[in-house]
Amino acid sequence: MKILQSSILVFSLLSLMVACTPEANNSKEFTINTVLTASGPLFEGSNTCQAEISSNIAEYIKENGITKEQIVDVTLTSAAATIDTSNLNLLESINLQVFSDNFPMQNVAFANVEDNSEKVDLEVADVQEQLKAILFDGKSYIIADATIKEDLDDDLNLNMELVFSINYHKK
Amino acid sequence: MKKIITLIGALALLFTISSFTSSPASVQDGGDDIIGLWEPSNGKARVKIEKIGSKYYGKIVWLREPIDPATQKPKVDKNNEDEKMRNVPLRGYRMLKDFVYDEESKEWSGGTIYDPESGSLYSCVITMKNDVLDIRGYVGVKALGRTDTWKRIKIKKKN
Repeated sequence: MKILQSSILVFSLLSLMVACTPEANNSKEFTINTVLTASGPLFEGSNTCQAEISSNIAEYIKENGITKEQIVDVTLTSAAATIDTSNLNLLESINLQVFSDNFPMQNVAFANVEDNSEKVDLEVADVQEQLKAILFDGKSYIIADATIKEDLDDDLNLNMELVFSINYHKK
Repeated sequence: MKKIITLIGALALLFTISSFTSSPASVQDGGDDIIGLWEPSNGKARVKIEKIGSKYYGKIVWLREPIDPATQKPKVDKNNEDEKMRNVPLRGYRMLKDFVYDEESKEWSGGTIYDPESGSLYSCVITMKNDVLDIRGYVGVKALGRTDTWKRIKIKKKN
């Protein structure tokens, strides 16, 4: 009888814990447009294009009546790069990473670049952690490790459009 | 005589100003000593360490064997836990991430090292002595880790 009572108690506690865990049932799209730059001259191989994000995500959620506490997670849903016409056949691949002063760097998207592509849609990572924390941190950064096929005397600019999904639960 | 004293004074002032402005060491953080090109003890790769924001990162810029014998294509991060990220080339891969320099202990810590051959990620601490890096990777307890020694590669500047 005691075992039965204990089992019921444990089951009830587990059910309560599951019920209390916030689950996202709403989402909003949030877009960051930024230019990532690697200062030339650049050598053949991997070069780092970077930008500091002044993400206005805090203002955005405020405008939409969402509090930070309601947000369960933030995920990158798409990433696209537009390449200068002068550099169309220069790029081999783009590996996109984000981080902030207080949270570690993580790969979020990648693409092999076909010749003559003006716009490149990157494949977004399945494993994304702490994006919410990174975007809400004081200083956050986006970097693209761009592999180029030959030396370049000028700067390399990548125009990036990053679309995030802010997943939150209702009050 | 007055002119000579003024001239000596001006020269002394100029020397003082230039000693504060022209020496790279005076404007650099001690942590920046790690910036450069390094080779692990097995000689299989070369890693360029750079600073982004306030942290240090190292990426593979050269591989002794860049082609995967199984695919006959450039090596990629085939052991990544995320299937979608398994096409990322190893040349250009950031294997050292998020190191912060501690002026007191003279070490770079708080970062991770990734072993692309196994797909394993380790906590890591780096110390430097005479242009040699001691890279200690560990899981959980630092004392139970393994240290590899990396030597600095001098870069010949292109004309």
